[in-house]
Amino acid sequence: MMDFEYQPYGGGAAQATTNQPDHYFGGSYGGGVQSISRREIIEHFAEFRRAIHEGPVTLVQHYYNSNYETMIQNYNTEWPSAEALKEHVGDDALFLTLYKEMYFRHIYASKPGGVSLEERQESYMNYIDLFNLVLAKDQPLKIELPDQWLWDIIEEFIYQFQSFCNFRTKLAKRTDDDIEHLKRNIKIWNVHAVLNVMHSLVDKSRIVEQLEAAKKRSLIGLLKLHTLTSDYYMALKTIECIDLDVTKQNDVCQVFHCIVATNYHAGFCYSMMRNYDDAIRVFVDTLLYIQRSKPIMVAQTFQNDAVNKTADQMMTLLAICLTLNPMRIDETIYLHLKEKFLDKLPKPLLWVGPDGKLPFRDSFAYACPKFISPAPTIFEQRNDSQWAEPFNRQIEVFTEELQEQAYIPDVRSYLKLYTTMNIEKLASFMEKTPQEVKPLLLTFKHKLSGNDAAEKTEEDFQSSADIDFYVDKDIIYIADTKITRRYSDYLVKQILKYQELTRTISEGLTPRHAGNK
Amino acid sequence: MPSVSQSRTNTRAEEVAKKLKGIERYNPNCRPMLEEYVQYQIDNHFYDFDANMALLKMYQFDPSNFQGDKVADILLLALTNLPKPDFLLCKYLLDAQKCQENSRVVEALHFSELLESCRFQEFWEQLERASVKIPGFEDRIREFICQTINRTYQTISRQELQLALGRLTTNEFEGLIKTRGWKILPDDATYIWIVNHEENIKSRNIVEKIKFEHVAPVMNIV
Repeated sequence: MMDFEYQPYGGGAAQATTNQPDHYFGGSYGGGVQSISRREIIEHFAEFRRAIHEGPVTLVQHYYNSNYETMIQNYNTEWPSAEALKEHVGDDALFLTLYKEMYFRHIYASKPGGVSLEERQESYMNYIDLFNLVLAKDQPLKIELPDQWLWDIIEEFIYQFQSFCNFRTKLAKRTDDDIEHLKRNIKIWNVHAVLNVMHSLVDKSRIVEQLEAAKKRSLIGLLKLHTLTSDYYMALKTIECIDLDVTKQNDVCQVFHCIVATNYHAGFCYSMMRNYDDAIRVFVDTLLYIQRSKPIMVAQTFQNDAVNKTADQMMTLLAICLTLNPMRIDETIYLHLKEKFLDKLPKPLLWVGPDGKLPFRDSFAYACPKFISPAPTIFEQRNDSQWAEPFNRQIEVFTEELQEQAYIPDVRSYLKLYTTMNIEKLASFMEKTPQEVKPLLLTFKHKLSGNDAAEKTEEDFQSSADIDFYVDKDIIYIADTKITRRYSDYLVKQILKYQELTRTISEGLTPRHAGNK
Repeated sequence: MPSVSQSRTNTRAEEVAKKLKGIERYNPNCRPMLEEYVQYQIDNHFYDFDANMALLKMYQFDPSNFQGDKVADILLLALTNLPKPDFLLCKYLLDAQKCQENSRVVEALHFSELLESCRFQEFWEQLERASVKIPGFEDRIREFICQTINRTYQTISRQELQLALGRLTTNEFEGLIKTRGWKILPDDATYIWIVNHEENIKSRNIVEKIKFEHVAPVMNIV
């Protein structure tokens, strides 16, 4: 009997093609593992179903969360098929489609590389059924699903679409049968259908208040979809009405990993559009938010891995953005960043290694979403080029952008050394002619100045770029912004920490009397 | 300067925007309309980035419909909106191979590279050899160049400025200087005064201000 280790699927960065090793938990493991009988599982789901219909929504949330824990502890049991459940709970179409959604989610999670074409197709048909029920014109949905579940459904829907795109473009591994089947069923997981579902959810929820949360989730789903198909403009436009600011939290967006995923994608779009200021701001705010929320994270174990991975990806992107657009950011984030991420990036970014390759590509490949191509697959090309093409295109364009900015770091480092500098001097430092240097100065200004200096307030300077300049005839006048170190925050934190420490120690030293505590 | 009244172009823009709402944006039947609309923008001196992106998206979804010339037009229009990153956003949606197959697209990509790295003189030389049939194109590019010069220079040499602004007659050149409020230096006609940066670009030393709220938590301990 082969047992599968439960592998949580990534929120935004799922690797559909890694094969997880199968762990064999034989009799020697015995001991603490309880096995639940099939009967108990079915009863559990019957209870779950009742909770869904009767509420309250918090009970549903409880059952929903405990589902995975229950199943994880049972290496020997597979999820019962929907038909088996039907016998016990009756013909409850809504519950069964919801159940099947979780069932397939488990399949995708437990064998990410090995989901068969039939399973993908069945899962897709189930989603269509589910959304048809939800979007039914005459009957509004009578049940209330917890936000987290809603988000998980939408996220999983997009993830499976992404997985399918990978599946149909990695033609080197596909069997002839599979290819025939794919050719005959091009409507399955078709991009138009997916977009249609998302947009319908958004539209429907304008009418039905209950679906307000669904609307926000669907918009975020669209954000993700557009980012995956490299339409950063539409991605950001779609979430215009959603306030991403993690420092102001309102009820609707309480799902932790949803917030993280949203900000990751938004930040990524900003970086691709050369809007480094906003990208940096979004990443730093979200990373601080994750730090603060660590206590809550412990409770939702199976999503933690996904959030941690997204956090690492954001750190990598943040490191890249800061290299291109240096500015001051929060000390704690900066220290962590420097240690683990900044120092790992090649300097300069586009440095070519001895093997003729760009090491920067690896960092970018880790940090970026797994792009897909929405175009129809050309099945005759039996290789993986159509799978690789979206990523290659994105990194190529991003690299071209970086090449246009290639000399800016050098210019910056020379300018930092002086308060005034003759253009000739700068040219000789950089081993170029003055005629070549002047466009570099113009490019510096073009690429990196967001606001005009005149409009900046003192607060803006706290976080803005460290250097500015202008050219008068042949002389460059340089202004730098020195900010004295903020000691107050650090000192306050330390004082509070020591106070806590002192208190803990003195409590520990108090002699214990019998009967205390 | 629109050759057609503003209200007519606005109505057309509104019509198109309506057709692109929600899922309809991806409806392949919209494609011919969007393609015509690109020409409409060129003929009427205006620019609708959203509609153009919708068309590029359609080409992405269905590469068999890719129209190189339309893509070239869209890219050139995007250049007129510099310094905004419209061109960059378009690039991400384009199939690299198909782009290489159309000479006008290749040309547009080259223009972008020159303008983004501020090699203005080279750009004008390149433009001479090309035939860009978008009325008002040169003016918009000049506007971008002037903005960038404005940000960078306080005083610039006349010769430098002339090269950066491309083929202008002396009258046109002097007219432009006047319009932008620039001035030929009275004591040295080889230089032109752009704007006063000295006031705004100064070294600053920002000293930390400790607010009471920050230290309140520790007041009772210390």
